[in-house]
Order: sequence, then C-alpha cells, then structure tokens
Amino acid sequence: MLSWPALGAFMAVGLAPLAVMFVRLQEDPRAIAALMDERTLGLLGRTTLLGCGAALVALVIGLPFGFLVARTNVPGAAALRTLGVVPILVPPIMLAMTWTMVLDARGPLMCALILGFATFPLVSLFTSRAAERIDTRREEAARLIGGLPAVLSLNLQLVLPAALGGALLSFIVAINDFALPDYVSAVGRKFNVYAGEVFSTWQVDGKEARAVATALPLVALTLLAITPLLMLRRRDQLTTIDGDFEAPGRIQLGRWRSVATTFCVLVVAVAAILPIGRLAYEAGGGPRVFSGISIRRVAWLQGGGAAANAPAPTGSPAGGQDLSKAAREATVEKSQNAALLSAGLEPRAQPPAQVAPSAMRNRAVDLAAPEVAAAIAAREGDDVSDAGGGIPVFVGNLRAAFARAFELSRESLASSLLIALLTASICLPLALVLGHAVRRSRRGALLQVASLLPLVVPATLFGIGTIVLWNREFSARFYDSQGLVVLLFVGRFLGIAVLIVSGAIASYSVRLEESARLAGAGPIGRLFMVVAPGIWPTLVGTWIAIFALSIRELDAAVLVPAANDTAMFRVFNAVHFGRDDFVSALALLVIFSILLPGALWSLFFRARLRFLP
Amino acid sequence: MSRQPLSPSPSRLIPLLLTCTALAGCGREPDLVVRVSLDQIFSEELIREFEAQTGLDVKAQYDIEQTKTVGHVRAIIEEARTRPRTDVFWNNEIAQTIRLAELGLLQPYESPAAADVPATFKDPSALWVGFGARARVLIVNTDLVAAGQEPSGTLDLFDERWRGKCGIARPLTGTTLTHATALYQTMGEEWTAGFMNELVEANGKGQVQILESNGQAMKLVENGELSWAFTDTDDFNVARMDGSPVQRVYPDQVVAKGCLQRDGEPLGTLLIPNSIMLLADAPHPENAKRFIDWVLSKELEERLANSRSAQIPVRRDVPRPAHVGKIGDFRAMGVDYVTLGRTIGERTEALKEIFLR
Amino acid sequence: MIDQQQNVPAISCANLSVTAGPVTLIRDISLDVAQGEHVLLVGPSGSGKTTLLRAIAGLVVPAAGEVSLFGRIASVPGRTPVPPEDRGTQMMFQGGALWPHLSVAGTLEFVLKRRTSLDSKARGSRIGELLELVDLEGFETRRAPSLSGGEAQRLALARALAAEPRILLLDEPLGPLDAPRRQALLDRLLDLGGRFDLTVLHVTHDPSEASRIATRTISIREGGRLAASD
Repeated sequence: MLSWPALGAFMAVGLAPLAVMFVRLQEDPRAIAALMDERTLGLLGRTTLLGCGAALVALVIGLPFGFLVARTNVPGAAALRTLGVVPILVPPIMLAMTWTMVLDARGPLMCALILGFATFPLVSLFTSRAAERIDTRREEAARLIGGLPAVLSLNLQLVLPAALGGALLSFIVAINDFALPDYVSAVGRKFNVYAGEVFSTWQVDGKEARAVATALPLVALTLLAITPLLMLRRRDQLTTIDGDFEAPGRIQLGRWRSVATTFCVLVVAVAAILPIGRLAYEAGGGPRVFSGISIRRVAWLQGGGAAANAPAPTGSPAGGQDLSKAAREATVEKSQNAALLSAGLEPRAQPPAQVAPSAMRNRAVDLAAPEVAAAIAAREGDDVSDAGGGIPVFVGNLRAAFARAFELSRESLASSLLIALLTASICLPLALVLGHAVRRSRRGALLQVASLLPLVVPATLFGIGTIVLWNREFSARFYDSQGLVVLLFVGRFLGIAVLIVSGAIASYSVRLEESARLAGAGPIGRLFMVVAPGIWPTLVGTWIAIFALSIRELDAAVLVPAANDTAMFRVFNAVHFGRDDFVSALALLVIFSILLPGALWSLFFRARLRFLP
Repeated sequence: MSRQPLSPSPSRLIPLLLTCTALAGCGREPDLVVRVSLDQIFSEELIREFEAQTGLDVKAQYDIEQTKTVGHVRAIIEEARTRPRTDVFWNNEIAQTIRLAELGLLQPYESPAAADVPATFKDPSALWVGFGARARVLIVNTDLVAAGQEPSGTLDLFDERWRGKCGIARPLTGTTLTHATALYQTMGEEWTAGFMNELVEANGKGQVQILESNGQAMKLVENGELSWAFTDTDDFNVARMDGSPVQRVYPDQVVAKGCLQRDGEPLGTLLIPNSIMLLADAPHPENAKRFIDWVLSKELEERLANSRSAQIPVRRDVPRPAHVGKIGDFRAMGVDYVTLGRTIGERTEALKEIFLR
Repeated sequence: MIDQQQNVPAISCANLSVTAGPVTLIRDISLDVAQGEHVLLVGPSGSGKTTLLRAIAGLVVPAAGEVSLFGRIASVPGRTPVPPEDRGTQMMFQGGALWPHLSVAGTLEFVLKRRTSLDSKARGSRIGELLELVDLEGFETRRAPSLSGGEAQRLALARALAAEPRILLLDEPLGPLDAPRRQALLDRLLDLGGRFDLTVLHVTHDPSEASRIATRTISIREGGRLAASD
C-alpha cells in the first residue's frame, strides 16, 4: 500500500521529534499537575479570551469582506480579494509594529484587534469559497421571496459555518502568539498570555519535563478548536456545492455598493497596504526625508532645547505637564518652528502666526555654529540621508536601501527560496498520499489530527526535538546542512498540506478512482494520474501555501544550525540594530518573496488557486 | 481544466527531491563551529574577517533578539547530550554562560589575550572570559525632560512626576532578567520581591510601563511616548546615532531620593559583559583557541566600542570614542557573576510568579 | 405588487430577447398567457425554456423586448422596473433549489416572515396548512437534503405557494420523479392551480405527461424562437 512509506516519512520527520520530547515527561510525574495552579489557569483563561476576541474581530471583518469580494459588484473585487490575503502572510508582529506607529491605542483590546486583522483572511478565504458555491437557483428562490435582503440573509446562513471554521483557525493563531501581546501591551497595564509562560519555562533548565508539560494546555486548547472544524468538514458543512451545480452571478448592490466598496478598501488599506506602505516609507528614510528632522533638532537645541522651551509646569515639577501625544507634538512643533524662524529657516507646516514667540526666550540661533552649518549644508548638498529633500531623495534612499538589503541578504534570500521550494515540493506528494488516506481510510480523522501535531506544539519544542533526533554521528553532515531545515519544515507544515489536499479529495468522486482501478491502474497510477490531475488547482495552491509558510518560519528554525541563513532570520536579526531603512527594505524583500509564487500564478494563469482546507 | 499538472510520475519525483535536499547542504566539514549571540549585524563581519585572516572555514550560528540567547543555550545543552558540535560560544551576556559552566559543558582555557582582563570579568578556573560590556542605563528623551530634571535611579520608576511616562522591560528574559537577578543578590531577597511586586502594582495603576524588550524601550523613548526607560547602552547608542533627542543616565550613582543604596552607598550601574568560552568536547579545540584569542584581543574590544553597539571595554587602556563610558568613571554595581548565573534559574521562577499573572 | 386587472393577460412577452455575452439565449419571443391558464412550454434542452421563465420572474434582464404582468410593464431592455420580489411570481426551480441548511418548517418560516405580517403563532399554523396541502405533515424538522425527490419537489411547491403568488413558474417540476409520483404531483398542481386562481407557466421536455392538466402547449425551438402554439 502506498500510504505506508508516506506515513513512515511523516513519523520520522513529524512525530519522532515530538516523541523524543514527550518521553521526558516521565522524568517528573508531577510536571502536569504543577500546571494546574491558579496563576497558570488565569493565564490560560485570558489567552482563551484573547483568542475569542481575535476570532470575533476576524469574523466581523472577514465574513463581509470575503462575501463582498467574491460575490458582489464591488469595483476591483479581484484585486481587493488578492490584497486581502496579504495580512496572513505578513508576520503579525510586523503588523503590530506598523500599527502602533500610527495609532496610540494599546492594551488587550488592541491585541485582539491586531490579531483579528492579521488573521481575517482565514475567515474571508473560507467565506469566499462557500459563497461561490451557493447554487444560483437557491439564491433566486430567495430573491423571488424577499429581494436582496432575503438573498443576503440566506447567503449569510449558508456561509456562516465556513466563516466560523475560519474563525477557529484565527483563534488558534491568536492563542499561540506571545510576542504580539507583549509588544502591544507595553504601554498601559501589562497583558500576559500563556504562550509567554511556555517561553520563559524553556529558559530554566533542570526542569525539562516541566517545559515540555507547559506545552500541553496550549496543544489541548488548539486541538479543541480544531475538532469542530474537522467535524464541520466531515459533514461537508464548509461546502454547499452539490451535483448539478450552477455557479451564482455577482450580486448587484445598488446604492449600497459605495458603502461596501469603502468597507473593503478600508480593510485592505489597514491590514495590507498600511504595513507594507509604512515599511516602504521607512525604507526610503521617510521620517527623516519628510520632516528634515536634523535641521529642526539643531535649531531646537540652539534655542535651548527642552529646558528653555518646555511649557510652564502645571502642578508638579516636570512630569505634571500634559504629555498626551498631541499636546507633546504640538509643543515640540511650536518650539522648533520658533527655533527655525530665528535661525532664518523656513518653519515647518504651521503658519508663523501660531508660533508663540515667548517659547524661544529671546535666544538667537547661532547660524555659524558648526552643527547648524552642517545641518544646513546637509539639506543643500548631496548628503541628504539625514534631512529633508522630499520625493526625489526618498526615491534615492529607497533604491539605496533596497540595493543594500539585497546585497547583504542575497545569499540568505537564495537559501530561503531554495529551502521553501524543496519543502513545498516534498510536502506535496506526501500530502497527496496522506490526504487521500485521511479521506478514504477508516482512521482518517486520527491521521489528520496527528499530522497537525507538529504545527500546534510550541515551535521551540519541535525544534529541539529535531536537534535531539538528528544530531548524531551518522547524520552529522546532514545536521549541519540545509537539508535539516527542509526536514524540519516538512515535519512542521505537512499537516497543513494534508488538511488542504484532503479537503479537495473529499470533493473528488470515488467512482472516478474505481473506474481507473477497473481499467487496471495501480494505487500510484490512480493517485498521481487520476486524482492529482483532478484536483490540480488545489495542489498548486498547497504548494504555494507551504512555500509561503516556509519562508515565514522563524521560531523553530532559529534553533537549528543551518537555518540561520534564511532571509526571515536576517530580518529579525537586523530589527534590533539595523538602521530602520535597511530593516524595512529587507522585510519588504522577504514579504515579496513570500508573495512571489502566488503573484506569478495570478499573472500568468487564469485559474484560481485553491488553498483552503 | 485544460492544463495538466506538472508531476508526471511520483516514483521518479520523490527520490529526485530527496537527493536535492541531501545535496542542498552536504558541504565539507567546517574547521570551527561557533555560536554567537552578539547580533549578527556586527558579528558576521568579524567572523568573515577571521576566516580571511586564518583561512579557516568557520560555521557560525547567530541568534535573534526574540529568543534572547535561550535558544543557543538550549541547543548547546541538547547537542552536548547527543553529539558535541559547537567549539566556541560567544555570548553577549554572562548568566547563561555560568549555567553552561555549572552543567560541566565548558573546558578551561587560559587565553594569553585575556591576561590583562580584570579578574572580576574572568572565571577563577578559566572556564570563561568577559569582555566588551553593556551597562543597564536610563535612556531619557531630552525633548521631554529638561536638563537637570532627569531621573537618577531605579526608584524614580515610582515617582509621581513620571506617572505613565517611564518604563522597564518585563524581567523574564534578556538583560532585564539578569538585572532583576542582580537586584536579588545585591538588595536581598525580601526587598527585591517587594520591589518587583510593587512594580506590577504600579503598572496596574498606570505609573510604570512594562515593556516587551530593551529595543522597544529605546523606541518608545526615542519617539516621545515615554520620557525615560531602562535599556542597555547598545540600544541607547542606536537611538543616539539615529539623531534622536536622547541622553544616557547611569542610574543609582549618588545617594539621593530616586537611587538605590546599599550600606549607605549608592548601588551603582549593572554591567553585563560579553563572554566567550571553549566548550567541553569541542571537536576543533585548537582552532577554537585561536578564535578565542582573536576575539579577546584589545583591537577587537576597541572595534566593539566603536561599533553601533558601543560596548564598554573592560580593560581601561582600550581606546574608545567619547560616547562610550569608562568603567570607573561611573560606579558599577558590585555583582558576583558566578552566583548570578547560578541563581538566575530559580529567580526566573519567582519572577514568573510575579510578572506572569 | 402587480395589481390584477380583468381581461388583460397575466403574462405578456413582446419581442423578448435575452443574451449572455455573445450568446443569444432567447430571441424575439412574443407570448401571452391569460389569467388562470396553465400553459405547457416544451422544447429541446438548451432551447431557452428556463431563460424565458427567469426573464418573466425578473431574474434576468432582457436585451430587447418587454415583459408585462397583468398589464403592467415589468421588464424593459436593460432593466426591470418591477423587481423580482414584487411581481407576484414564484418559481419552482429545476432540482428544487431547496436551502440545504434549513428544516422543512424553517424553509417555510423563511418565506412567511418576509411575505406576511403573521405573528409567530399564526405562522406556525400557516406552515401546518401548507404542509398539509402538499402532504408533508410530520416532516417539519427534517432538513432539505434528507428528503426524497418527491418530497423535495413538494416542499419546493409549498415554498412557492407560501409566498401567495399569482403566477407560478414551474421548471421541470416532474424531473426527478417516477411515474406514479408524477401523476400525484400533477393532480395536486391541478387542484391547487384552481383553488388559488393561479396562472401557471410550466416548462417540461415531455409534453405528453402533463398535457392533461394544461390549457395549451407552446413549443420553443433551439435558438430560442417560438415555433408553434396550439
């Protein structure tokens, strides 16, 4: 039977690393019981709430978005639909970084909101597919009864199970993230989640059983969320297609079209264009180029800086002043403008009338001072990296940042692409075999859940399991090679591939396989020559999804020796000390390479990819 | 369905792919394997230079901010159990180094290059050597805080003046964890536990912000969301080089209201040196020693001082730019690094109980 | 809602053409159906029978010609002045087009909520009456996909009747049924048509089976032209 070798391969790369880790639970029989204290349970409860919040946000945005772009006459629906996939491919922490640059809001609600926006494509993709599978006659029957409202009400009911399935995936992503809540709750009351507990337990050694055990509650929660998804799928609730299907047309929204369009554009703007746009802005040195900060700074310091220009304290000495962002910016802006004016330079944006002359305390700016001269020279000369200059300078900087990012990370990008290409290409045939087994064999559901385990355990656990398993004399060369990275990624992502492929196989008639069998085709022939051609859009979609995930992966990879030459690794390495323009250009390069195959496909092929479970 | 899939026959495809995977990396055996937790952006260039000078083929593995050295130490421990693979570990801090020493995973090496490194920064049995240190300092936004009004020490976190405008990273990882562990050692068990609990309470009341990392602390002060925060000198220097309105304050230098004191003396600023060590059962010990000697040279310490990370040389006679401090010009916290490393595990547990709720 | 006037045809199509992109689905069809008539529309597959029904229902917009219902212009080229839900027409779709997620009672509830001002209790008893009409008592909680072919067609009929139409458009209603069930459903259609004063336009590819209940038969040829009427 064909599925045995594939199963064996999955056991070796996916389950064995987990097995070697979970064996350690024996070292401390009380490790699991120790988790059941009030604090841990509190963290788990909060994490669950965060997950629910994120899933709710994803549902509220994703359901209407997915429906509108797939089924209505919103202008540019196809482009909006493609852009709507971007957020799930961009690491959520990047989304958080750009959002907090623009918005002041913080705290748990903001966490849920960002995670919801980051994962709404999961809901919208499922919704779009379900909405496209509503038979046109069913819709017309509703239309005759109650016009557009009845159609929308019917469609809502029909796509809701699929959308809820997507929301469950959003929940899973949200509860496993810890960097984002930590980052977003930096201002205001600290918001801790359970994944943080997992991470910090790994730091303490001598308690390995405990570290492994901490993973269990999250795994349980994740599996709990997957179960209804798999059940819905088993009952074919995520699809509404049947025998003689007539595809539905686009719904004419009439006067609601502009409202719907605004909504869709807004969602895409906030979730996809804003992060990428902000990165591009940073890559071109935007903050410096468009504010000419160094000239203003020098003039400001010449004018006495904070000491001379701070507003009169109200109440307590220094901290009592109004430090809201707006007030702060207004104060600094005002004083800097005053400084610029007295330096004989153009003030920024605001009319001089609004500049309080008293702010300068009558100090004149010394134009001959070397730092002022340098700042002015910088603005006028070739060295424009640090001040003003507008669009031409921005474009120049952008080009330079990309050139530098590309030059420094060319090898990493190449190795990322190679690793992702191999991972996707190895996952695909394995997923075809296993996905087929999931649908056609009695223990399929068990196989499906098992295949997802490497993905739902914390990345650290899986990464270390891989080290323990493969760092041996016989595999020493392999351990240091990129082959190990491919192995790690195949093990981690195979479950996703299986999930997607098995969904397609469910809608592929078993009779076609039976007739091939009667015609003399063996199991390999049937699977690869009959089934595979029948579900090829799904296979291509699977390949692209695994490719994107492989380029994005960081957490497990960081432990494995050969994986630190990937582009994603380099981005996060540079985040700390790299110049913002360089890091942003690098991040954009990575995002582009994540999007590359999907973009190429939609450019050159007309068929729509299917990459939904 | 006009197009056919690309895969003609899996029986040929799978072995082909497996071969590709195997070929993808099976390079030659390296001459030296190094793990480096100093940021790749600096260390990669240095290692390439070492390769060029010696002709050795170095396999280097870097770390990222997110895993805060934990990944490396884990991997070293796990590798040691199955097949020792790493020769040298260049750690950008010290506590995890002590852990490795405690686990018996290091071997002594008296590097001639380390002869003039002060004894405080060396292991008595030569298992590791410290160099190029970072200090835990306050980064202060000069647009918001007038000269003469700056905070002066740790207790300023609770000063009503800075309500909502000061911050420190959550002390569960990185140098902030080391910092917290150092406070346990110097200020005592009871006081520190009380202090940490007060920090959490103050956060709940909107007094102190608890941040994700030192990098974030730097960014928030740089863009004016906070007036000041604890960070490391390397992060401070990045903000300084970006031209941001920031200044550095060494905390707890004087006997004053906001400063921590011990026995009537100011506590001083915590220094966290880089550390380098030779691993037990290193597969390439001779090359490893060459590398350690090279890293511990005065020239390299000087270059680290001049780099964007602005490491403070531990040797007083190493030249440095003006913005890099000099040990002795400010008061350093008197910490026993060995005890610090030994206790950091149990302190993490205690701090988790306080901060992860 | 279309007002009912005496002596005007219930359905009147004048030189009606419907296209889909470059393809002409029906061409230049003129047709009058008097009130209370039961007209059979026959023709080969692809001749445009279903399209004609959908044009009358307002679900497709004509490229040329007009559709009038009870003397009022309902469709003109490029638009439908009377939207589908306000035409007093209901349609039994080929295959039933039942809503898979709803129960039998839920299906009728969906209609009654939108077409009547009955309160929940009154709707309940109306559902009972409708199910009695089509012989589906006791099926209230069954979901659409679990019904047999005949049961599904009867539910589709009940759904159409629940909206209290004046004109009933039937698209191959007997398709999936065996001979005895066809006869039973035809009897019911005949009975209900008379009782509710319905005008019925009935598409079938086999006129012999339904001719006994029809007042007249019209055939439509490939390419969407009316060929003969009698």
